Amino acid sequence: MHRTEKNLHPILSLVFSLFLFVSGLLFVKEKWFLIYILTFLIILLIFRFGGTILKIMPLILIFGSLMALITTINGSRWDVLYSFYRVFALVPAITLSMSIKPVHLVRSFNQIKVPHWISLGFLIVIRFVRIFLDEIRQIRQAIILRGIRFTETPVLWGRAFFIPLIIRVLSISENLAVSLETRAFSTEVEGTAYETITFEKRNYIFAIMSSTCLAVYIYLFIGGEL
Amino acid sequence: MKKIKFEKFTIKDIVFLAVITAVTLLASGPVAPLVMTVTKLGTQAFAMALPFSIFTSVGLRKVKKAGSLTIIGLFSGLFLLLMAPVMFFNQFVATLLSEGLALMLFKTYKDKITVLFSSGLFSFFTIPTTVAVNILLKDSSLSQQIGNPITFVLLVLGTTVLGFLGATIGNKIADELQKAGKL
Repeated sequence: MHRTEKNLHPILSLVFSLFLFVSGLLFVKEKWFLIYILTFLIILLIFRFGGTILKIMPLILIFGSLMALITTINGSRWDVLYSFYRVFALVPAITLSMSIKPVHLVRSFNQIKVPHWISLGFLIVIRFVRIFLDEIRQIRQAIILRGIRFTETPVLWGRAFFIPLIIRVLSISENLAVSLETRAFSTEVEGTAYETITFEKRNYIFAIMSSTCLAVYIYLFIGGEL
Repeated sequence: MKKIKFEKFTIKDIVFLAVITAVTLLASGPVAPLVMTVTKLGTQAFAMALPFSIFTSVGLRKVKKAGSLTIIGLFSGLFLLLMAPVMFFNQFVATLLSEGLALMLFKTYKDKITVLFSSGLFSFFTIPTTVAVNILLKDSSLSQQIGNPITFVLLVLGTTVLGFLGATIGNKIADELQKAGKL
């Protein structure tokens, strides 16, 4: 059994990340938008997400400023502000989704009976993005060593890049498939969970707090008054 | 009349489609900053068209089963879900539409033209999905999103051309690999 400790339950994080993403973008033009963001930042700080918020904040500020700068070309003062807010609105959603550990998410998927092949494929994508990053680096180094330049001979560069890459994709996937089959993985057999991800008390508290706050802001958004 | 045949996916198919998705996502990495910063409708699809169509067409040439592109869309969508939840719907719906249309027209992936249409039109179909998302979430009207109609038409045409070009390149790579007995 696995306790989520600092992180929330992966499915809960994913669901609220989606809600906050959508609501953040919807509320951008409201007068109380900053209070809305502040509310969820406080909730996330209470649940010890301060470190993650600090990590993503510089990127959000740079990206938001860039978006605002682009909007200055043909947008009004308000458009500039809203385009910055649109990026800023993503902070709570990104904080939650970044806290999800892929392995825990896959195990939670298995617990809620998501087909085994979906969670397996998802895990392979996450794992192999890193592996192929190194493969691509190696292929590009080999191309440089052979003196092939994209600007001079683009067709040759394409061949030298794509063919070895696809060959690697084929051989890696072949080996991985054999390895999985010998471990009795199948698309037809239902898998069992290696460890159970539990839904702890702090998850209920987070769900209640966030849902209540979100309900209040949705009420305000549809024209209600406090 | 030929009917669309749905076959079961083996673990080998799933693994290959997942690995090709990882490579597709990596190949579109260099254009990701452009996709993230530019707000003009169609620019994102234009930038992603080439890398996506090259690799997805190789994937479809290897796994010639109805639903393969949708599975690629599902995997890439799940990966992007952790960064921008709405991207999941964008990817998934676009793959569903392009694969649906290609299979409705040509029925089977055994013909190269189906692969060409399926992966070539994928980026094009992300445009209507983006429009729907922007209308629903950003309160941005269609005319606001389109901006200058000439630029928009050029971007849509460019996306389609690059999509088909990528799919043709992918098919050529697959042909060479098939000749070498690797596919």
